[in-house]
Amino acid sequence: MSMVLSSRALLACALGAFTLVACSDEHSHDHGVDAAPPVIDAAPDAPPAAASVTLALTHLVAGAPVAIGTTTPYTNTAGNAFGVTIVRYFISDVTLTYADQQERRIAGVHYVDHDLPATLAWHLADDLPTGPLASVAFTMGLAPANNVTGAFTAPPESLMEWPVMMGGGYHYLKFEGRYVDRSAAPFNFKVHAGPLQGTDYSFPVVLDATGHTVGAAGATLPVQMNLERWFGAWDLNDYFNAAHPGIMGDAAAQAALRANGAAVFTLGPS
Amino acid sequence: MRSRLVAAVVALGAAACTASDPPPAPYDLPLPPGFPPMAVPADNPTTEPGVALGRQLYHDVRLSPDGRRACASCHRQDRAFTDPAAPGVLPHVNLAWSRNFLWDGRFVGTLEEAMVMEVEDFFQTDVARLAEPDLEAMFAAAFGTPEITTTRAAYALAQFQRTLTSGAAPYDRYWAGDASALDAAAQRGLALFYSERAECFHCHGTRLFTDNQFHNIGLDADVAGTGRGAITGAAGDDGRWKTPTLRNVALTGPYMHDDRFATLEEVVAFYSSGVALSPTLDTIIRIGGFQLTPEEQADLVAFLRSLTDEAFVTDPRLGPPP
Repeated sequence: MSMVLSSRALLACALGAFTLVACSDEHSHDHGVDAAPPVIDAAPDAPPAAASVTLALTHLVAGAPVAIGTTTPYTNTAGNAFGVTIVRYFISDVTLTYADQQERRIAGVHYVDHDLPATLAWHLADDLPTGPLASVAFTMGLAPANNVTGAFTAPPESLMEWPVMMGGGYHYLKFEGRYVDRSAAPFNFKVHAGPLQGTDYSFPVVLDATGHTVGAAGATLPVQMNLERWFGAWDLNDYFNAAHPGIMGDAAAQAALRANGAAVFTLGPS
Repeated sequence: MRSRLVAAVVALGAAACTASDPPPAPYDLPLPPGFPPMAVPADNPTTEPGVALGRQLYHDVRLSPDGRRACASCHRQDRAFTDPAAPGVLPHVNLAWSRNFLWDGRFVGTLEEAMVMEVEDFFQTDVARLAEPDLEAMFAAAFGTPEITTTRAAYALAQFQRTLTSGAAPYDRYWAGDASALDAAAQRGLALFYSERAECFHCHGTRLFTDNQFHNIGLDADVAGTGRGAITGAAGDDGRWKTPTLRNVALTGPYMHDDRFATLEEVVAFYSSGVALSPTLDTIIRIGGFQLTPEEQADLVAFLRSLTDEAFVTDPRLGPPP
């Protein structure tokens, strides 16, 4: 009701700030995991399932953890100097394949925001088999069946909304930052991916998990997003300029981004 | 802890009800199509007498110790519950979905907590001043006891705030299938609004037309210590201000946290060519502005005017009690 608050109000605002911290954990960022049991395709002679597995999401540039900011300390393949401000995305439907060819499929959707620590781990299940792994697979983005406007009703997930005029649903990815253009001026880039006009640009990711084992104490699998690889060989001047400020409405760019995405994820060491 | 304390206070009040008292009639809160679910806490259900009390208090100058101000003093219904004459007043529209309050987010919490803050800290309400027969009767109807507390007053205000829901503008009729609800200029403006050419929708998204987050849209080149940063102390928050809803935006000028723009035309012109580069400028914003043509700017303004919900700003249920 007013912009003016007393010093007493400021004290109470401090309490409010604690509320904000608590808010980040107010709801799970895993969707379809807690609400329904995971879909598990188990071999008939599978050993008792007992271990928990978590995906730990990290974001790298040139192999090192990304430093968020509007400066441009990095260089992509095309030689553009760039920096990163925002990394937000959905991954969904994980499949663990064991060395003995057992598969465990965990259906669900997980939202990741680099700035929200609570989103940087996806606890898949507590009842998974132990043993050495062969691969970890998931979908980058949302499967079309999950990608319907209104499916997410609360932020931050709801803020990934993809405009109905572009087909509706939700962004798969918001990767933003700043680069230095041909005129040596700063220009903001917005690598936003989504289901443009009904075409699904999500894609499967399969990571070699040789050397990773689900032990009795479970496993944390370090999934790395190597941010500069989203650009592939792109010269950012060609994709983010005065005449072409973004790629959301550009089907060719969405397809190219999907192709670049094939190399974006890696599985780090245990 | 604070909310638990508040809940305990209200629970004590509720305990004053006798088993023979009928429960207050629930207030029907229909959601506009496409709106997210509205959170209503279990300790403050929205009821007919609770909303009536909240409406009374919203318009009642007895809320302030000097008897000169009520909420409605700076939140006029005909201006979508803001006031062009009061500096920096955000409209009371769809606050039921907000957790960040005021331009710099100096209060973060639930609607109930925000209203407690308003009653106790902004108005510094003297409950003795409220202890008059008409209000005591309304408190008794709403909370089962005539005892007046600041918490109960705040909870009643929160109930009334939940009725300040706006989602019946021409834009909404257009999406519901009435193509005639938007003229050609507004339809062109809508297409621009939801494009990266004008880049409005990422912050003013969902059917609420706000993400309720904080952004630096490039109002100033020197942002040190301003906006959200003045509250959090984080340099990365400097120059970031809360995204206001665009619902009824044609009625809520002047615009921005410091009222620097008098008209929507000035706002759109700023986005077109007035964006200043600063260390925290959002990367969703084009440095220097979006370079919109005069025709595009006019179309955007036409679209923004289509967000005016005439029923909301004239609904007698939201105005002063008879």
